[in-house]
Amino acid sequence: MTAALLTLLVAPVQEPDDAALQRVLAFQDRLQKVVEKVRPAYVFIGGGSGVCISKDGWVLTNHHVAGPTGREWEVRFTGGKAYNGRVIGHDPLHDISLIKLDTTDTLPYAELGDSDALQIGQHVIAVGNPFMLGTGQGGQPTPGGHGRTDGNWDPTITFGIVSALHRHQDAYSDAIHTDCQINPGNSGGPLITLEGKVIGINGRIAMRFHNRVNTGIGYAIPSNLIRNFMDAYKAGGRVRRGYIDGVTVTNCGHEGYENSGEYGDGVLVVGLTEDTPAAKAGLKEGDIIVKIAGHRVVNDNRFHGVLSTYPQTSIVPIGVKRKVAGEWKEFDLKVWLGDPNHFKPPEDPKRD
Amino acid sequence: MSACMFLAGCLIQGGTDLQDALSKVSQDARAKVSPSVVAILVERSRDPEGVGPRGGRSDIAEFQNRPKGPCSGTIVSADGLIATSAFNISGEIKSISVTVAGFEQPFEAKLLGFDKEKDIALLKIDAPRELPVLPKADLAALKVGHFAFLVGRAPDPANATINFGIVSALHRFGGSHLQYDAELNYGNVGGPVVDLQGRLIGIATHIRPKTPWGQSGGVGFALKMTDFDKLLPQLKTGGRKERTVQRRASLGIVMAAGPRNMKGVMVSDLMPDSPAAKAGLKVGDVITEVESATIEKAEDLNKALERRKPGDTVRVKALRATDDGEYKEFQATVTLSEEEEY
Repeated sequence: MTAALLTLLVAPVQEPDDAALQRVLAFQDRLQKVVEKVRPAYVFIGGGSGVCISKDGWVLTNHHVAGPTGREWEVRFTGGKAYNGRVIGHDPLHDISLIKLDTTDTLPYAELGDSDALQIGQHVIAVGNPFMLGTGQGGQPTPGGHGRTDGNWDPTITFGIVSALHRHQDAYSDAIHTDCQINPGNSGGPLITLEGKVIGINGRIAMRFHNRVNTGIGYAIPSNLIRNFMDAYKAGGRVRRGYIDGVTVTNCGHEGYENSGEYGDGVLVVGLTEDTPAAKAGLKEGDIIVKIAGHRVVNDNRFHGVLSTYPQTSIVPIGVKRKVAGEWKEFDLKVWLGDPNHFKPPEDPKRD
Repeated sequence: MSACMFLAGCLIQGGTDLQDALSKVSQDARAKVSPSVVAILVERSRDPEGVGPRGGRSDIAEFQNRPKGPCSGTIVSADGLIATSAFNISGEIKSISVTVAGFEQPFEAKLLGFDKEKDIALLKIDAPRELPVLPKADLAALKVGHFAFLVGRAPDPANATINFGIVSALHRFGGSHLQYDAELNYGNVGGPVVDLQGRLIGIATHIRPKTPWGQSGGVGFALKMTDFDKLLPQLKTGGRKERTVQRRASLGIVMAAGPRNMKGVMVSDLMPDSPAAKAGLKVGDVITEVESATIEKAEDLNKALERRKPGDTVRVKALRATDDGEYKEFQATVTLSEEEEY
């Protein structure tokens, strides 16, 4: 109590200008400490980036950096310490490869965070190796080489905000959109919150005129998607992205259908095949799917986007609106995701 | 008493909301720094360094060329020494005029010296009164993740531009430069990079049309003031250090080490107008052979290219990943371009 009072008494003595500066300096200090904490967990892989997410050496990167299961890499941490690693699992569409380092050392790592808790406008940092400025060319001497440096294994930190969430950009079905400056060489590197948690793996940028330089638009694969697939990655090989077999949907507000709601309400079920996972889940034609696993479904793009963040054979809750006796009722169903020709769907997903 | 304290607390609280505080700090920094930023207008008879790849005439390259109009400089002594990027004064110069805040007429500037490797140049103007010099930041205390502002020219130097960013890395180009993510462009290069209190960290440098990081890509550099001070004596006495430009035959790629269980050099990036791209190579391809010479690592590829001239045509064998994770070999014929080292 005494301490609190003292603080109150001391604070007003400062000049208002100084207060603004002190506030920003305190924020700078916080940012710098996060940088100091996560920078050692960054790794260099070939011409790209990665991040170590456990003390025993699981490393996340992009598929377009490390390639498929079985490929072996020399992976170097910030500062240059090298380990041999091997790709254990991969997902070419979501652009993730998981590497295991061959070591018994206790390694610096940054934990995976909860990307569903992200807010638009939230500050984030990216760690990467744009234009290979931190390595030279793979640590090789680089006569005539671009991005010539000393090969001192010194990554680049950039700072920005979350510009948007749940972007569906080609195969990136649920991307975090950030204005953190990410460039060629940042691929596979982490997007990190000011709590020091990895909430995405940076992998794409929007370019102009094929000029491979950041334009303020970068995309990261969210940590929760990665977590959904982690067991599949660790089990080795390739993973399959979820979808609901047996249902055809269209955007709400479609002129061709009665009671199709307004665009943005969800997606309208316009086709259903008997004896499929969709039918077994209890969906009916005319239903409006408004939520999937707690995520609002605004249109068909988001519908497919959110489903593919779950591996096939997952069972997810979906929120459905149905007109019953002239009244809209809202309820939840459970639906099995996957290809029934490849995996055996349960007879009744509600009981699983 | 307690009501009074509560009120005071509120005022501080309201005034110190992060966004408001940052806005205030940015305005203060700009106000402090602007008088030491000058606008430099250079007239040239030729400007070979100011044009992008292929003479800046390809569809995409127009914005890579140096635009018309002034660029930035930083006052570094009260008697009229001005630091700027050597890129800003490259080419065949007819005249350099410098506009300083508070003076109606621009000054004719003399180019004292430059070092193109560090991308720094020193100009001198004769001003009738002392010019404002910025205090220096303590570079030993500067850390990655600290905030940095890049302040640049406007036609009216009293209204300088300010870009916000953080220090991205402290050790670039042999350690003489640091890297930041504030947007660096042809207009603000040569201006001061300062800390939150407007203290001078370095001079914005290392932007050229042919750099792969380009403009406003969030990869900017500054010559550290500690290194600037070391160069100052030779710049003052007319030192003129050219870049040792090596022109060599090039595939127009950025190389990277490939997987350990594969031999070859991976294409990590393609340069603008890359000959390799024109021949159909893509990022991620692994080059294994150039004209029957086996390529296992970057050195092998450099060696194979050393023997060729720009314009030569070479047969390249490479591997490309297929959708099922396998690699498929293919051949391409590449007409080598000329590449500069930087």
